[in-house]
Amino acid sequence: MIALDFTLRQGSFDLQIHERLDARITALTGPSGAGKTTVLDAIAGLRTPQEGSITVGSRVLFSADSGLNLPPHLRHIGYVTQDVALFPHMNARRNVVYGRRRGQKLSLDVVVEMLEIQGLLDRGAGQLSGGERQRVALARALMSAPALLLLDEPLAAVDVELRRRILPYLERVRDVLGVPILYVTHDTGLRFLPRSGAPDNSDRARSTIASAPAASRWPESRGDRP
Amino acid sequence: MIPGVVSYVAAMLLMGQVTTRPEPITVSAAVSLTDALEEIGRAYESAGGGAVRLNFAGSNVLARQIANGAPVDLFISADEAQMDLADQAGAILAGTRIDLLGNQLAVVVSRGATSRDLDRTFPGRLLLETFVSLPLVMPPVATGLILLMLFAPRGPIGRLLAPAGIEVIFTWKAVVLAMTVMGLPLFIRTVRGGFEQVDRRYESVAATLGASPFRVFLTITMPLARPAILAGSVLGFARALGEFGATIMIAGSIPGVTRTLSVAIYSFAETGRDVDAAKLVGVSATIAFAALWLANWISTRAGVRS
Repeated sequence: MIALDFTLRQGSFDLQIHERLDARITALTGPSGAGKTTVLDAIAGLRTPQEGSITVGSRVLFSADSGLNLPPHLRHIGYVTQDVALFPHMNARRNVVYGRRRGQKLSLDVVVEMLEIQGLLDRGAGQLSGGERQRVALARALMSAPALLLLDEPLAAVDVELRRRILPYLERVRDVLGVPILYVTHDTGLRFLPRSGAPDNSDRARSTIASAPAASRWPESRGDRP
Repeated sequence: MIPGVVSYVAAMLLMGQVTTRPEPITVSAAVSLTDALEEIGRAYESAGGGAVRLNFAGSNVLARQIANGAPVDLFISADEAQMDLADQAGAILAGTRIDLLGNQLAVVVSRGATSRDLDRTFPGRLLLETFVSLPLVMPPVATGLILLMLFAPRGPIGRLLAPAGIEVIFTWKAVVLAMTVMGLPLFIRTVRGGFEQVDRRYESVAATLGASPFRVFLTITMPLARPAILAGSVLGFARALGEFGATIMIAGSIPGVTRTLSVAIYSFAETGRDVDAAKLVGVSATIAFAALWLANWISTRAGVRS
């Protein structure tokens, strides 16, 4: 369960969210400038709301009332930003293992095999194609054993053909690892991660940020709960 | 946002006479109005008005001309103070001064830029940076004299070191001290530029992967700023190599102990050993050239401006 209940002000921009996410995958949609990335930043701890609280599972990450604000490195939130941001001075392997936590169950082999990046590990960050960078960044985020995976427009930078290839990897993350995913897209028409073979929507939820600046709200969450 | 109001003011001057017969008129106006007034002048003439003589200059010049009696029929200026000046000189026909145009000036300041800079600041940062950079600008001999006063056995720092048996003045430690103080500003300024160029996205991502701020600094910030650190080291080294004034103040010129390359060249030249001096000049030129070449090579390779 993810509970987002906060207000974040940036200049004249006023972002308000009051939302509980119980689905395993939630797509956050809305027009450009609605503050979708800001929501992810706030959950990851890269921006600090003025009011409210953020809870992931049983852990309170932020609470304005009790003055709690966990720094990003203690939050256990995997975050694949829109620009992917692979560390340019490391090869793919060092990128992937950068956030590996001691004593975690997930092995490098499992993640590498799942995302099919065996052949990429010894390449430099600059020698990877768009789709390959996405998978390496995904592997890097997964290796930190996150309690929640945030994906900011993971498919925006790749063409339709690549989308078709990356989507199955995201499905595997969901099905094999069971990591909840909060996913940002401006593409409201995107058919989001249907279960392979059985196109039902049982684990799909979608939330929308309604309007842009001045008073951005996130009014409703649709979709079935698992 | 800083709103401001600039108004255009026009006035008929005493020299102008309103008659029915077209007469040539002289218009003094600010240079910024050139295009507009040339068009208006043509329209005025083709509409049956008299010939229009346009006189463009800065408003202050025009106002002074008018105050001194220049034959001008119309004065158009955005500068109210200059219009007041002409007015006070009695050069404007009463009741003909009108506000013609107004506009608003909006200055937009990037909020992101300032807040980002503030992220990495701390109280007294500017003071510290200025202090560290002082030796770059101060005469080295003056810096040396300050160091001498501080580290002399009876100086405020020397007095603390003396009980521990540490002597600084006229030892190799004085040479190291002088070179460090003189070389540090160049090193710090170069390295600071390198740190500022590191993309903060990488630091943010590293933090979400569980890296503590210290680990982020060691594994992300430092390696990405490495070219600047190397270039800064080379520049600092080159500056230390050429250090003379501060060294001779606190280390003296003791052969085999504190006589550095620069000091040795001076000593040889002073005592007429020109050949020895020339040899050392060759050595120092070679080292300096190699150091600068290395620094430039590192900088260009990494695209870092030093």
